[in-house]
Amino acid sequence: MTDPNDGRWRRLMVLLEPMHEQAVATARRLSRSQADGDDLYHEALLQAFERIHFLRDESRFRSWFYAVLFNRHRDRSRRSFWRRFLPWEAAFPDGDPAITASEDAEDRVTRAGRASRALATLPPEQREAIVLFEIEGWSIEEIAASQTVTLSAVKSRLARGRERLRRWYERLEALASHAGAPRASDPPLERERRDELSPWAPAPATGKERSDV
Amino acid sequence: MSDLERDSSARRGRSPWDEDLDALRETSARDLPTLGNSMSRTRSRSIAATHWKEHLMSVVESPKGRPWIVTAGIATLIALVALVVPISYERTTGHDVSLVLGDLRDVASAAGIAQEMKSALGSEQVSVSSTVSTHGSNVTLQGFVPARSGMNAAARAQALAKELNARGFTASATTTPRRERVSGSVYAYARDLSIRVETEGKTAAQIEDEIRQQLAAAGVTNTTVSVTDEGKARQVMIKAENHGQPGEDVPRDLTVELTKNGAAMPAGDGTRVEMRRMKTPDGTTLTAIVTSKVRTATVTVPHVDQMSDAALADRVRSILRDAGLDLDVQVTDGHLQIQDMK
Repeated sequence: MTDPNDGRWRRLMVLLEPMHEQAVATARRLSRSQADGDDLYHEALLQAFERIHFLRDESRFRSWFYAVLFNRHRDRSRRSFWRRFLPWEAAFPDGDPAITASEDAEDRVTRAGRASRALATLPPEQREAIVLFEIEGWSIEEIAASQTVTLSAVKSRLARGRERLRRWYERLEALASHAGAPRASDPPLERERRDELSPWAPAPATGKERSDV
Repeated sequence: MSDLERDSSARRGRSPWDEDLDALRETSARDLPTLGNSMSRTRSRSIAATHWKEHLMSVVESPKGRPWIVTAGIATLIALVALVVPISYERTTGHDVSLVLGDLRDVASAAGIAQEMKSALGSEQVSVSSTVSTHGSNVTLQGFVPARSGMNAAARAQALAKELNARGFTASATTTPRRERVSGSVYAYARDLSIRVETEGKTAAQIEDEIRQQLAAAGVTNTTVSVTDEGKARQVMIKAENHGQPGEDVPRDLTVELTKNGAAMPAGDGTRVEMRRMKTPDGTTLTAIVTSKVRTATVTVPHVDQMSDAALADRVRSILRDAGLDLDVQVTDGHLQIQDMK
């Protein structure tokens, strides 16, 4: 039996095709983990499907879809379960991935995990602004258009977001100095445990020592 | 990012989080799902959302030895029926407009006025009837404006009467909603409630009356409507309560559109706030869509029933400020008021 919604799904798929990968990556960067980001993206897809018939000008699909994505992101951010991850102490149990002096000791996965945690402490609008400007390379004008705010509001969000990140990293360094942060010379168990804390760590290969990615 | 902005970033120097953000950029772009895979998973999610209803029906059919399931199942069945079974209800399908021309000396002019009325209201036809007295003829022109036209029939009729009076006629217009019993799903019923009110040339009291009448015609009677003029500003406050029934997953949305000369009010004309309080067993969530000039912000605050007035006001003020909106926020006994700074 033909799904009566096939036409809508096909239309959405055609419009999404040029920007799908970038949009998935953006969803992941706004979220706390890859799985969370993929879930956010699917929610945005579903909402876009339900509202695609309201889209009159397909040349505006990109900005329209990102608006849907950001709305879903803010709704998810304000749910009560999300707030349990915000307390800084809960994000860093024993053996936290502190900043070390040697960059060689830090692999990309651990750094990405730390960035996710830092961004998770920001209000959703500031998080969006930081991700879009610092990671995605959007201009302030593009961000203002997508968030439907003024340029000065975007600049304010960026400034406040950076200030919060600065304080977060300062606290992290202070904790590392106080507790004695794990180093690259740590026993493998400590490094594995640290990697487990990163939501960007790929699944370890069975029977093999996990290698840096 | 503009060159100026990138230069500024470079001049600031690398921040401690720049390397981490670079790493996040890189890792988040790995192992991306294909578009086909994403669409497939989303479609499955969409189908699963409707299948739960069928699953509940099957639970109700096998209650032997499990009386508690019977009770829960029956309650669920009732809710399910209310949600998916078509129901009949009354809906306003349009408005009958009656234009009375009193003491009309030149009855032949009624034909021309009928044409004007047909054009102004977009009616397919206008019927004309007349009664004769010693003073002249009273001519009644009647037309119908369907709801789907989106036209504010009452406003158009009043405007036409006003113009005719200015031209020396004695004209008065009345508008009566035509209600019919139709069948539709609950979902369609929930989406039907949308009213438009023309504001041009009307006093605050007239606008208030019209809003109240349209809401009443649409079956929404538990309302508080207030339209007040404060200097050059006009404040419109509409409060309508709707208590959803268990099992409803589509709350009845009320959309009130204020127009000026038939067009939606331009964004520059003050602050508009659409507010909804959703009460569930988990608590009350307040959602407000605030539009001030060209900026719009959505404010969502959960568990407002557990917050003090000051805390709620601070929270709303903070969210609006983050969105670039500097507005006057007051909360009194839990009632939130957002308006332009005085």
